[in-house]
Amino acid sequence: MASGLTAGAVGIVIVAAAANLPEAAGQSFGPGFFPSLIGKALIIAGLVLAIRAWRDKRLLTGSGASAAVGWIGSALVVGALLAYVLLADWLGFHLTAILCIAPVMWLFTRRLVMSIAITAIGAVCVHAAFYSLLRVPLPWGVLQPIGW
Amino acid sequence: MDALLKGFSLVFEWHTMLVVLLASVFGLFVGAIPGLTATMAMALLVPLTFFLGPIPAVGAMIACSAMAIFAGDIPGTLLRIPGTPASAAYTDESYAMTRNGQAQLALGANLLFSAIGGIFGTLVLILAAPTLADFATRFSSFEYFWMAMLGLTCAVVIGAADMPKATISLLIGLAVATIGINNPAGAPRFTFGNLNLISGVDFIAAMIGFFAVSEILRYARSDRKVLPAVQQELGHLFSNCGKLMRQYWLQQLRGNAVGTVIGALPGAGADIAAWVAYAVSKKFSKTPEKFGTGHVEGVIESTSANNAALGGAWIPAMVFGIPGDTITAIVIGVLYMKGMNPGPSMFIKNPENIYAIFTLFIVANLLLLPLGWAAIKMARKVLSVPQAILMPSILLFCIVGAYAATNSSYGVLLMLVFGVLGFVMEARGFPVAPAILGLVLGPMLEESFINSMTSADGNLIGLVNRPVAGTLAVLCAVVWLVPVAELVRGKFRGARRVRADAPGS
Repeated sequence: MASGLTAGAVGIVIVAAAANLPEAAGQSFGPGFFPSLIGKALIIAGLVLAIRAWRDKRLLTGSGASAAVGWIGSALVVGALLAYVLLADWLGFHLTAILCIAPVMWLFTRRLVMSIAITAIGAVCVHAAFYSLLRVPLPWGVLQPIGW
Repeated sequence: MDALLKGFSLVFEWHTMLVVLLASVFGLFVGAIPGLTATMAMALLVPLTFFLGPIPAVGAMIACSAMAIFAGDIPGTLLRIPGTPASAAYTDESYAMTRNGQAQLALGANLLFSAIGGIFGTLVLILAAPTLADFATRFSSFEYFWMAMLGLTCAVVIGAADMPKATISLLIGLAVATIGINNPAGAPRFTFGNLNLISGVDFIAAMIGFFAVSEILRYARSDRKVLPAVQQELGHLFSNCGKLMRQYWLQQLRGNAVGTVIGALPGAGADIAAWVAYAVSKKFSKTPEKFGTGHVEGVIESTSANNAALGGAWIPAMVFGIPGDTITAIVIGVLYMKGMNPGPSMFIKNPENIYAIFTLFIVANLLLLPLGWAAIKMARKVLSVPQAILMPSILLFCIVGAYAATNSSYGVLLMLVFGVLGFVMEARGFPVAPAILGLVLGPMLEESFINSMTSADGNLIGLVNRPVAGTLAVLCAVVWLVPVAELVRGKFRGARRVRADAPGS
């Protein structure tokens, strides 16, 4: 039911936002037309889903609430990627990669030294391949003095 | 003839062949590891195709997908864990064969009939695509509007088990596609004043998020069990294959045909092809009671179907730019990036590219035999690679790939957003494939609609009063009636439930 209501809410936001888009001069179908159609469809589909879920719920109680412990892994992965986005330009690719990936690997393997070692080697190899060979401008950050 | 030779020379040069070979090994590895899907292999491959010429890039994608779909059978047979969702339909059956001591027969059949299925799908592609393209040269925006409509309709009705959820998934994809300035009016939409969003959502970063990061999130959330070790000793793989080919020629042919057709339908790919082929096989079998006990018949039919679906999916992709499945959705993104815009003009302007693609398909499916053989022989080693180390390493690779897509951390952020979106959608039972189709077809749908309305002076009747456009419109309506008819008959619901329980691609 939550998914259906969320979809419906997103639909309302899209319809509202589409209404603020400029009209195309002399045309009945401006840039807001298509998005508002999508928004309206989302509202309808969301309602259908919510109603169906509500009806099923009365027949069938008890949903599979998942243990909080399982979410730690996912949360760490999300956190690692967020940290990368925030830190990479300042800390540089190598350090940020180790800082972000090693904790994830540690959580999965429970072996700290190995995780840091593998991540460090991985970061150097990936950097060499993408920066030097394929010319992707991965940032050096604080390591700029030793960069090439 | 000149174009044919030119196409050959594009394929048979060392650089292209080397890329195809490497992509094949990559595809076999990713396909064989449970939790890493064929679509994920493609998404991870995309950042590397930036740095390749168009033909090697396309070759890499064709080879990678063919190998990955086959390789999914290996852990399915040996460990009862499908390597990709496309193998899920017959995992129980082939594992039962393993328990009966027939692992090598099951794997030999999987390999041989995968390759044959792939070649069958390719032959249909070779025969059908140019004819359809010739027909499509007469298409205008009206017809393209309905083609896009038909594609989206199929994605919701045929490809998915749960229609309201599939519809919402599709609408999410369409909504994301409206972001940016790439619309007929050229007005910036939903950019929130962000410069990065002006050019729209970067497709590659989104794909890596959808198919790779979401998979890592799922692994992180699971209990992260270590895969059981492979016990079986495998002998000669092809010893009984001649006999199987004679005995089950009909099943094999039917599996090929079913797979190609389902592959060609937008939104339904290799995984659904395998489910349908398995069901068809059981239904028409003389010995349906043997199914589920380790009977090779259903395995042959469905393993043929999932590889045949790959070639089938390229038919609408090449001719109309409408993806037949999630894999070709990614391929279309790459084709645009490489300036090989799909559509009938590609057949007229660059026939050598078309011949090169056909040749690459044949080469990839022939390469499948020796490389697949080697992969089966090395299965024990491949399956003992610890996932606890592999998954974070893939995450690192994802970061670099998404970064390379935009040359900034913005790509990584985008990847994260779509990774979480894909993860939440799957966890909530929303199929991801319709969203991808919406993302790819959204611009085409809107542009063809606006262009049609402009030339028809805003008259909606104009959409249906051309013969081909009208026919396509009727076809759309018919597909929409399918679920209604089903509801009335309530017959296929059981089969759909089974599919709904299986992990999506």
